[in-house]
Amino acid sequence: MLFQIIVSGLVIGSIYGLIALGYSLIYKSSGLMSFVQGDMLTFGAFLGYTFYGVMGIPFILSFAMVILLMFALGFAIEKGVIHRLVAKNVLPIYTVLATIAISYIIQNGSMVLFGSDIKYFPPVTSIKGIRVLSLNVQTEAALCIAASVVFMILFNFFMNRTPLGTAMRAATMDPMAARACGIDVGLTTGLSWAIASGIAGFAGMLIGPVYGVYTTLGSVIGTKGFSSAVVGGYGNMLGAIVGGVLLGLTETFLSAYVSSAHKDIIAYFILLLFLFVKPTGIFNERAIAD
Amino acid sequence: MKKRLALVLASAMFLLSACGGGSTSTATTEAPGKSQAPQETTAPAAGTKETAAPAAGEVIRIGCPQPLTGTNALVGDTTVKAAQLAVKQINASGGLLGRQVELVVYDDQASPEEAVKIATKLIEVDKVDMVCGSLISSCVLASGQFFEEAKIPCIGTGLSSTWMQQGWDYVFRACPNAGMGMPALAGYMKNLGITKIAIFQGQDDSSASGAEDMRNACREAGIEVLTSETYVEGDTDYSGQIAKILNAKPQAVFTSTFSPTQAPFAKQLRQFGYEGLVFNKETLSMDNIKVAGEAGNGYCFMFPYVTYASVDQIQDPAMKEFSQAYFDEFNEMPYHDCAYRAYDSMMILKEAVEKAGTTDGEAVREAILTIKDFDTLGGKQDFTRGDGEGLHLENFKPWIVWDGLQIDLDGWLETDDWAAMKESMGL
Amino acid sequence: MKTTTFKKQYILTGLFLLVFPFAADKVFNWNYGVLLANFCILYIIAVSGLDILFGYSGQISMGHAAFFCIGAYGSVLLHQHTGLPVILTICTGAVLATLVGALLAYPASKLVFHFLSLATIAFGQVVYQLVAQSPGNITGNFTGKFTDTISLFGWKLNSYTKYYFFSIVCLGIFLFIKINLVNSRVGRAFIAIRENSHAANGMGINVRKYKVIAFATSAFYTAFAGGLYAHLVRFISPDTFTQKQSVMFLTMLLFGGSASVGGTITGVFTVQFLNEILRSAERYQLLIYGILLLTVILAFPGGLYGLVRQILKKKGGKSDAAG
Repeated sequence: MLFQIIVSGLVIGSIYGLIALGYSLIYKSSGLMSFVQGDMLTFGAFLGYTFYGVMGIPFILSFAMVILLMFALGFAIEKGVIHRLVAKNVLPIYTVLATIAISYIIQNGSMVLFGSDIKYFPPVTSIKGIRVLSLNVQTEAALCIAASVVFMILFNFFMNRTPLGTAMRAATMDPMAARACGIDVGLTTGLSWAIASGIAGFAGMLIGPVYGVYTTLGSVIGTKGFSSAVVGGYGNMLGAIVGGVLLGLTETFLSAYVSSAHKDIIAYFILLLFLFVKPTGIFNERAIAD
Repeated sequence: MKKRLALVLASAMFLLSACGGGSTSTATTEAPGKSQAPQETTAPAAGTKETAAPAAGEVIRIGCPQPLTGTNALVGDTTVKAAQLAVKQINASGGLLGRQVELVVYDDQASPEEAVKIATKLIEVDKVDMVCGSLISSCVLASGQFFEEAKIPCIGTGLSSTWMQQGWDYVFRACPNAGMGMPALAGYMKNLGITKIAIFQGQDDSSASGAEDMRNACREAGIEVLTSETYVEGDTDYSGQIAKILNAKPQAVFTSTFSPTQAPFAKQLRQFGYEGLVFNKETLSMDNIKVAGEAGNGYCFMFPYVTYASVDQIQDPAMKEFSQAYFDEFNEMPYHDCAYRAYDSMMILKEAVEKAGTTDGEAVREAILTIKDFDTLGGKQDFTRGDGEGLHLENFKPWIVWDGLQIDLDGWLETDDWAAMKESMGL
Repeated sequence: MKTTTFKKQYILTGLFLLVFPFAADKVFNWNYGVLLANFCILYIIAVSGLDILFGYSGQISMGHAAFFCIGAYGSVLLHQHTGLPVILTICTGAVLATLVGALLAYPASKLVFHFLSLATIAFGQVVYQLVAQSPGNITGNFTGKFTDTISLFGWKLNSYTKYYFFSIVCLGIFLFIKINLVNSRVGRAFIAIRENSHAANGMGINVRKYKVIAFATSAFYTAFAGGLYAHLVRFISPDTFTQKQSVMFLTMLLFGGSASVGGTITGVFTVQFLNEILRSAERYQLLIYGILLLTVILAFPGGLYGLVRQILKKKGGKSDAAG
């Protein structure tokens, strides 16, 4: 039992971590809060279902297509909506409200396009389950955890070792200096939103086969991903992942050993305490604007 | 000054907009400040005549608030379709009392607040004569008092026992009361030798009251409920709850959840290694069964009717006829048993109006109470017992899901499959 | 001359408000309009509370439905268990929420922007879970609670029209208080904190104290509105007090324009108006709503009221130039 719980906690935790990563990335690069990540996950999952489940395109190819499409979508949103609002110099809260509006559109648009029943992916592989340490693990779950780990390693590499990644980090640290160095800050900001959406789509493709796809799949995950990001330190990449895994494990353990009816209230209460005592999160990340 | 102007402009805009949905009759208005319920429906027709019997050709309006968005959208959709089919059939055969019937559909978004607004709109603006109520029990709870005050008969299509316990005279039910099935289900379990069960339930009104009814029934039958686990709506991962359930080592599991949760829970439960019977508070939709696949095997429940994947699977002639008509009209099979519930409710309303000879609320209500031995998809309805319910324990049949079909439970118990399961469960 | 036009506007508006329910009933035969007006009024009070907190003192709250909830349940449960007249229980519920708000504000005053939004989201969730799974089933959990309408010294508000007049009076009182508050020293402190809390601190303003006052007042407003809601609908259940409702409050505030009375009024009316005309769109309702919201934000940042003001300013400028 314990092992099963840990696996489930890790699966949901890695998803929280990925979403949190997206949030922190957006915050780091544009100083804005976005509420769209959760719904990006849902949309990515729906797209994946359409490609893989309905059109029968091989999984890996569907995966790649989804990520590319979500990438493009994120870029489009940044250029089309966010950039415009920032240029108009509106109160930041209006940009947040814009992301909430986009979230409504994606959620209800998905419902109109795909219907509101739960869609299920056909099995990704013919392997029913993997035996780890003499216990059965669902293939998709193992895939989810493995893929997340691989992704985080790759992402870290990208951000720290490649010129583009370094340029992005420079742009978030000091846009004016970055411009002086010839870095196109507009591009890097767009890129970070694009990457965040891509990550969300990626997460959607991972979790779709495990839980099934439906319109509200992402909304709860989005809120929890946001919590994870803040717990780890809002804006800190590693913190996002750690926060996500921590939240996922805590939730599952609370549900199994304390009380399933009260797991949410306990989790949120702990979150509140955390915020009041150490708001900068585990990795001590200061807020950008005060 | 400007803000006052804005206020005036805004309220003018809003008045004009709401005007768009309003009816045009003015005759029966009483002075404002009267009781909250609108004027007595002495002129039942939603037309312009006020005192005399309505002229032939006046439309009879039946309200139908259902959840058309949100998690229950598909269920609400099939409910509306079944009601629309009923209306079409009635109109095709000459209408009701010689008058055409019109269905007024709104989306209550499964929200009590919307339910209240819609109830008022149906009563005041659309001037409906009767209502085929929401399948969401909390919406019926919220709006019931308004229909009661307006003396408009409302036949709700939800399963929860709660909304029939409010002492309303104008709210009825022509579909199963989940509370009734529980003692029978508990009895079944007892007969199979099951004495320890675990419960998995949702938080919403329907699921929670179903679970509560089961707990009470178990207490009466002497079955021990080892643990009750809850899930929060929106959650998809039930590993924690399942771990706890299985740790308690129950001989059977009882589930009381919203429809979309059934399949994922079944799959996860089986993945954790549970191989025994699962008792459910209501039937599973074909969609859930298809998706759950093998995990759905062993789901038992007591219910008057089930859903089918195709017309050929159906034995019962009345059900076959209805499903064929539904299929011809909408090119798909009824998605959920809510379709049957709505259709039966409409048939009861039709019967009552014909018996009463008028659409006057009080007369229709009294007519409903005289209906007995009336054949519907759910079996013979009997409203003479005074509890406002048309279906009773004798209408509940035991079913089990096996190999993608829903078959008679009693028959299945004679098979080797049960013998094998019994052994593996140690019963 | 300006003052007479001002007075004229007041009188016109006052007349309109008085006549509205009778007109709605006789001309359109319709209690429904009055019901909608009642909803609008109580939402204006609720959103005014959020405006005090966010529009004026700059503290974001994405869990304000929690206060709405405390006001509603507080009043209903008190009335049920003690039999006190509803008008008293509404006030007591609001006071209770004020205390909770002050209690929350103390640690929350340290937080800003995303921290505060997460804290308020978490707070909203905690309150929701508390009423959805209350100890001892005291709130009826998801079955909800039925309650009565307001009765003032024996005069029962058993029609929407009566309720309307009562609500208008409440609205008048609350708006009056708000206008005086924001124009007072306290209000100026709020604005100073919103603009730059460090500078405010430097000028000797006790930032924490004023933040707590803002939170507490805001809680009182929204909770009172919650009480009005509970006794208007006469049935409450946890589904009404979800995150979605908090977002709805914020939307109504920002749609109309924050930090102004006209803004909140415009915002509430517009959102309710949109909901009504979109009702016939059934399943496309929320999608269209989202698209409209986004369009408005892109086109008119600063809210609709800001737009109205601009138009009026232009007109005023023209007439000034002309004569």
